[in-house]
Amino acid sequence: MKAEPKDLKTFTTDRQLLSARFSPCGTVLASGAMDRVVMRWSVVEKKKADDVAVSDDIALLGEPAKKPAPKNAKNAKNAKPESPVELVPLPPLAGFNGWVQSIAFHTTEKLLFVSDSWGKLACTPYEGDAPKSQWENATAHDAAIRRIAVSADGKLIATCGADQFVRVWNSADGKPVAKHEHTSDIFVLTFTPDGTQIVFGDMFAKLSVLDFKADKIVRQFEAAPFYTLSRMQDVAGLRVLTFLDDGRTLLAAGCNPEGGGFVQGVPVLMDFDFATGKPVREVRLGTTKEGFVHDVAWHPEGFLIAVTSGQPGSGKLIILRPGEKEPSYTRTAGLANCHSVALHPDKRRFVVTSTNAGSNGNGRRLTADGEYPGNTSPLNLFEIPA
Amino acid sequence: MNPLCKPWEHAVSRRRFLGASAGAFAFGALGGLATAQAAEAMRKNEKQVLFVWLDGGISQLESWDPKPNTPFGGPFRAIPTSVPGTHFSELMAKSAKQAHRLCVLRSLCTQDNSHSSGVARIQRGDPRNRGVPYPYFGSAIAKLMGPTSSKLPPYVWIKPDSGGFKTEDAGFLGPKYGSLAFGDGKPPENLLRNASLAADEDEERNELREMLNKRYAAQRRTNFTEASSYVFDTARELMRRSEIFDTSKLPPKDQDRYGRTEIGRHMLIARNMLEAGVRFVKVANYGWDTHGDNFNGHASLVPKFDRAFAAIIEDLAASGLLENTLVVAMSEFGRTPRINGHVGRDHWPEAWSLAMAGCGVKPGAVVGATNDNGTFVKDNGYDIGAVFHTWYSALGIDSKTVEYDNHGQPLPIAHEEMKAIKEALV
Repeated sequence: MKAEPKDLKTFTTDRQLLSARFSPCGTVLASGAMDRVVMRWSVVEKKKADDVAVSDDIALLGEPAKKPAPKNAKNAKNAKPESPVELVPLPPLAGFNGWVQSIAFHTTEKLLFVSDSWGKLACTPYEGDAPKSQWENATAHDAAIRRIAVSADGKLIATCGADQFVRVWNSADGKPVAKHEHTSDIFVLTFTPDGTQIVFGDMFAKLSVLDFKADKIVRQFEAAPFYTLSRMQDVAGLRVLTFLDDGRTLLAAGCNPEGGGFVQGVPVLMDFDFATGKPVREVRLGTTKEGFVHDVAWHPEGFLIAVTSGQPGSGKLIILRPGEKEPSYTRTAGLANCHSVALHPDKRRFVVTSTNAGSNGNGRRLTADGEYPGNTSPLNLFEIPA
Repeated sequence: MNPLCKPWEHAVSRRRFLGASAGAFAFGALGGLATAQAAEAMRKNEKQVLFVWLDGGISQLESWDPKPNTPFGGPFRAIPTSVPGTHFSELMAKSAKQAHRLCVLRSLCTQDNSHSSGVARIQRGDPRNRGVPYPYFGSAIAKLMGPTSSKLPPYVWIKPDSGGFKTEDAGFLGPKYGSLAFGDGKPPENLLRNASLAADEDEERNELREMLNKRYAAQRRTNFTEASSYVFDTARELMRRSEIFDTSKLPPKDQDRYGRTEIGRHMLIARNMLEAGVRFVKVANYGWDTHGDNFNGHASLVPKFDRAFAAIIEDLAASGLLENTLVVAMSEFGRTPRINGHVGRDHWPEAWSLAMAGCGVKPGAVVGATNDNGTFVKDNGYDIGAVFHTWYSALGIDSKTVEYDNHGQPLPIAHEEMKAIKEALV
């Protein structure tokens, strides 16, 4: 990428989102939410959107619109009509509980894997108004499922959770394939590129390489910056684990926590030489108020897009190239508390979920109507210059 | 002239006393009753208090008042408890099994959303402003009920970090009613008799201390010297019972049950102190101010509290002490239903919860309720003044008639415009 990402448009939503991803075909953006649903948007080129008379206002609403919403001065002000792409809300996918913390698309089929914080795992078509689950397992884990990973060939999915288990499932029918019981809460996991092993990271920032067919830990190494004990709080900093390039580099990202409670900590990215387990790069992305790297997207042109969230109001979008110690691009303006970044398969566009301004505050704060408002996650659409 | 002890005055007098009587504390042969006998005596007729303070603010939604599958409910499930129809957060699995012994107040609605004012106001019972600082609950009980027949200090505070004698808790009652704080469960520094000092030498030194004490007292305000002498004497009694806070002697099985954590260890020491006859034991635990990553924070913190809390409730019930011990677990406020951008919850005094158990308290009760989304209390909320009346009533103290005497000025012991919460009382 030679130039800065260009803002295309910010789409407001009416709830807090956790994990946005584009479908491999590029037609759907989906995100788990904090209110037990998966939100979906149809990705529509503006010309097509005009053809189907989709107004900007419809696209600006997170809630699926049964009818076009009235013109709203605030939305009109926020809209950037030059955007070539619109996100048109689709009906949410319901039937989940608590938080939908992780979603993952099938690599080849039009299916979405969804997990929630009560331990449910489901596989559902992601198109259509009310798609019926292909399969679901309400008790896949006995606690929050923190992450779903899909093998490169799409045949297996792996999940990990607060119940200290890694579980592997047949993606076609949801049948269990393997399981591994660990000794602490597991925050992140990923398949190795060849699909034979799983790497997972736990609360204590220990990374384990699992031969899941043999239920055997092959090796372990530490990502020490991602954990601290603060008084009696185990502060877990790992949020991301993914392979870069062709699998030689394993990236861990999250927070180097300084303390619990407020969770003051520095956003950190660490590259490991996967063959040796040795750290080869540690990039610290700010001060202790800036918190966590919550999500990353690896661009095939060889750079990393990452987002951070720290103390309320603090958030960053950064671009980092291999071997560099400093981001080549950092954006903070208008991006408070970013929790996910989704790269479109066209490799030109990406979406960052952020948080509305003024999301925090002690005590009573009501709207003019006397309602107690929740926070929301705007969707910030960017374009990568050619 | 302000009758309250200034910190530097206290420090000077303490240093002088300690300098004059270094290593003078009796420590060796166990005095008083053996633990089981003392516990038996306590069971019969002496009321005690265990006050668990979760500093910073435990989230009501991740503990006593879960609202699963609501907009602000968070990721956790609610689980059934031993009381049909009552649910706690899944993070409270062990306390859920003790729910039939607990009384959960879910409609606290208090005034302060900052720590600096909230901590003091909640622990002082937020009386009407009388121009003098009111005592914390522990100091109030030390004054109103005094030591038990064990003669152990009436107000002991087991806390993280450092210990010492904390006079500020006592407010206008004067330094005598401050707390004896055990930093990390350990006795105040320099209190134990030096190992090189024989018992008879220690006794001689103690006589010297008493003589110097009298001489010193003749030149000082009675308030100060009384406090110092009082603390010294009660602490000395505590030193005779060193087995109750010697962590090396804590049974491994109990350590496992309470959890090998800071709060587990402190709660186990608290149990020993209650069994030994300390009137009021406060266990403080820090780090609950989860403005960021609230849910992972509570997932780490709450089960550690839960394990220790459930274990001590179970043990106090098994020994019979619960009948005469008022147990309270609370913070200075709850946490906002709204989840901020740092995935945290902020301060929320509008609608939050506390748990009680033991003497005078209705077991298995849930008092008050919040609305469906947990944002505000249904009907009327209870301020801390009403809670203080409730506690006093549970302990057999008539909070409507008993008064403090502040140098001739009668002062109510609790907010005179509030009254006890009847639904919470037996």
